[in-house]
Amino acid sequence: MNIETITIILFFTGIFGSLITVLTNNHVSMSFGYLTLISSLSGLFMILGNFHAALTLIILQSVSIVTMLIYGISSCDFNILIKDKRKRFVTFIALISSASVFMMLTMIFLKTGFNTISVPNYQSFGELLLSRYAVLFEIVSAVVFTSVAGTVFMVKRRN
Amino acid sequence: MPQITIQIYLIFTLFLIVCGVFGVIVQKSLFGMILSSNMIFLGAALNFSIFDKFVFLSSGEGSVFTFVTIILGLSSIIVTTAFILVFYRDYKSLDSDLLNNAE
Repeated sequence: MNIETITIILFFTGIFGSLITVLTNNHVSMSFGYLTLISSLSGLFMILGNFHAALTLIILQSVSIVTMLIYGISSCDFNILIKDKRKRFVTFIALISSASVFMMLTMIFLKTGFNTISVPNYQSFGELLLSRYAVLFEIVSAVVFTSVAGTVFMVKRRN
Repeated sequence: MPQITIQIYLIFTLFLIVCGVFGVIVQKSLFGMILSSNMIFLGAALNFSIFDKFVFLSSGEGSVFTFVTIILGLSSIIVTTAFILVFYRDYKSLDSDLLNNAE
């Protein structure tokens, strides 16, 4: 299997995931569709040589979406999804496709070992980020910190 | 097998962005709207990587902005999670039409 075939498979998986995300109405299907999409996108990032973006996408976004899903399940009526057979089927298919894409990516990565990002004149991506884009990095860190702190404050205050 | 050119990648990102915009317009649930808006973020992030690879020949500049875009999308998910939680406590629903009646 060459790199073009893998890229085309990832394109179709991404299209499938985005269609599930947009066209379904229950939250579990949407979440698994979105997870399928970000799995395929992280594969595309790996093929494009942007390994850090792939890692960020697959770890942080997956964790955040799963957390969001747990929030949703704990606060909404989950029994509706289990009783409806058609929704259960879509959820099951989305779960299987998401898991299979993730496993395929892991195997491809373990077997072939795509090169991590190589930046001219710098030893690593981190060095480039912290030397030329230090201010941008600080601003983004501040945005993330503010969002997390604001979230905790907002939820705690409403309790 | 055909060579994967920049045009094919751009068609895919265009599809992602169009799907995201469609989702934001069509979805009534807040959860669906935030996922759709994140699809727009991801399409933009993928564009940065594509142009870094094909146009600027892996100079690393586009990777920085890809990273930043993904992190900003993540921040929006975090904030919206709290918003959804608070909204659901008040209205017992995630239907965005209820926001029109919010005071």
